[in-house]
Amino acid sequence: MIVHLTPQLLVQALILGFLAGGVYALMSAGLTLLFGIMQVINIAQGALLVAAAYITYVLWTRAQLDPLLSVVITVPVMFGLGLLIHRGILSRVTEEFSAFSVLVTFALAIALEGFLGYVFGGNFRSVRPAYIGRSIELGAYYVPIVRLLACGFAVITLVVLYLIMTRTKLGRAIRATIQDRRAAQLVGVDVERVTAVTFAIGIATTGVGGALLSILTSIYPATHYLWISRLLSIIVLGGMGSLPGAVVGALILGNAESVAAVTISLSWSPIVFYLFLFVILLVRPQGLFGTVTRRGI
Amino acid sequence: MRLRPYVYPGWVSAALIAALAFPLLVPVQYYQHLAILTFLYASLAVAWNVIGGYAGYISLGHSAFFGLGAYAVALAAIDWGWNPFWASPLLGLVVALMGLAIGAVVLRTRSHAFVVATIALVFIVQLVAINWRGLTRGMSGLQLPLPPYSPATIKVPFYYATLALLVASVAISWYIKGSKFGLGLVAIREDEDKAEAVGVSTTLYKVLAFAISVYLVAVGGGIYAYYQTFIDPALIFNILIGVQMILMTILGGKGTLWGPVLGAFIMQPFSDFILFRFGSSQIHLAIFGLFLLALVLFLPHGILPTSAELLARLGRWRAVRRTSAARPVAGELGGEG
Repeated sequence: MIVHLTPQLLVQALILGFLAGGVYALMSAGLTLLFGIMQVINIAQGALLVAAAYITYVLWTRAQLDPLLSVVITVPVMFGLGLLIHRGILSRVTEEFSAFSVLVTFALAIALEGFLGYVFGGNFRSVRPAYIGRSIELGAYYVPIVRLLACGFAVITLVVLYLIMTRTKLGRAIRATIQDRRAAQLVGVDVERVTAVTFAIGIATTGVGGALLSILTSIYPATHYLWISRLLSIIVLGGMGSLPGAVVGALILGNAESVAAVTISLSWSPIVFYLFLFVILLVRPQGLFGTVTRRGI
Repeated sequence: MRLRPYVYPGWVSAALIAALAFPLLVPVQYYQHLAILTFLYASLAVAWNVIGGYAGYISLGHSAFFGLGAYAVALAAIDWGWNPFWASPLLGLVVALMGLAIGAVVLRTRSHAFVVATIALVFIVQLVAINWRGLTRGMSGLQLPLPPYSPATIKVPFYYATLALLVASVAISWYIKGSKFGLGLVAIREDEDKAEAVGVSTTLYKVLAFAISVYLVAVGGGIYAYYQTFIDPALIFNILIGVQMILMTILGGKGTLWGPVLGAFIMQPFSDFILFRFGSSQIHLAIFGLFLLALVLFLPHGILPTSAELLARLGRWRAVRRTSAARPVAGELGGEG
């Protein structure tokens, strides 16, 4: 059952693993940001990624818009959706029912899955621009172009996110609010507005993530479970609320999945995520970069 | 002779007698089918309520144990010829042992992390069931031997089996509720650290509650497998089964005795109708999702506690009106009084 791991196989797996990790990093950055700002585990993040992928699909089929370019439309749309979700739903969840926030976002996820399935039907959709299927050959190894482009785009978006968080006034306000909400209020940060905007940013990242999803795999409503499982494992490993943690976690798990895929089998490989999730929750629930809070995770 | 203490047991006994007589009076298979699913889901909801309602640990992972029970019984029926009606309660114990081990591990997390861990649980178990083809025949699923009853009355044994499960579940839930164990669970729900500080063995209690909950769900899974005569990983580990348990419990009243039962009796026919009307498209998922959303946002306490609260308020309002009407208003209505 287990294939012998040659050095060549390992390097190829690592190449693919890093490329996948970059994309996972972007997707989980949004999720971890949402937890950081509101202590909400957004189970609907996977469904939102799929929704954004469908939007990209529609723009591709109706307007022949390249998926990487269409983010200029998808990102604002998802940002708006994020504001709506925050306003309409999550602001109603009180502290008493904090575990209910998971139920709320779960309900949102299945409602979205149902809606997407109703609108787009049960067929797998895919977006196939010209660069799909071609690879660059580096000696004995091959690098699929679409994965390279997707990872590159993800990295660029992460850099933009990083710059926003560190170089802008909004970014400082966000970091302050995450660190200590009350203290931020005391120094004059409008925490209500910052929370709403940060939440919307977290959802807006799915605009890019969804576009990448559309070119990397086929789109189908029920796949959102697979994505949210992956992302949850990544942010738990990295530390919920920590952006660097999300990146490191994504790279680790992306490679673990890739190695598992070549040594065991592709269909067993998602189990890596679940196993990591379990082990981390037991051994070090705050993850690699998270902080231990008094009330526990 | 004071009749007050006999009202509640009276209603329960009457309902039980009606339930026992039902299939004999209504030989219509569709209604028996509806009753079977309602009793089954009510048992699942009552079971979930033990860990989710009493102890406050919201598990989205009970579908995993439902499926494990189903697979255990299916394999026993196929490979060893066991009668699923006896295999279910027996193998349920095996699954409960697994629940004990898994619970000891998973209950180390709290609140959000616990819910996430239970979600992961369902997907792990589902993944294993799909890929371990040697044991489970993978996605092809398992075909159970057909029940040896005549077609006209084929559903009747299942009706009594699920009724028995429901009665057992409610009895266990009732017993827990009135016991020190149950009190400990409620303490865990309200504030686990303080409960621990006061001397409640929180780990033991919550793992035990989890195991009991898992047992009942696994037995339900076994009966369900026999009823459907076919199971496959996608169907039986569907996370929506767990979602429905939660929905029904919250609807009726999380943490109450009859809440889950009420919730199931309301939701199951509704859900059956939705699946009938919209099941061919995916829109039924959207309906469930929106329903759960509305429930959690607007009626998080459920029907029973909310109506109890409303009745109490009505009672207080009436009491105030009664006392102020009896007292003559000084000065205004005629000077001499």
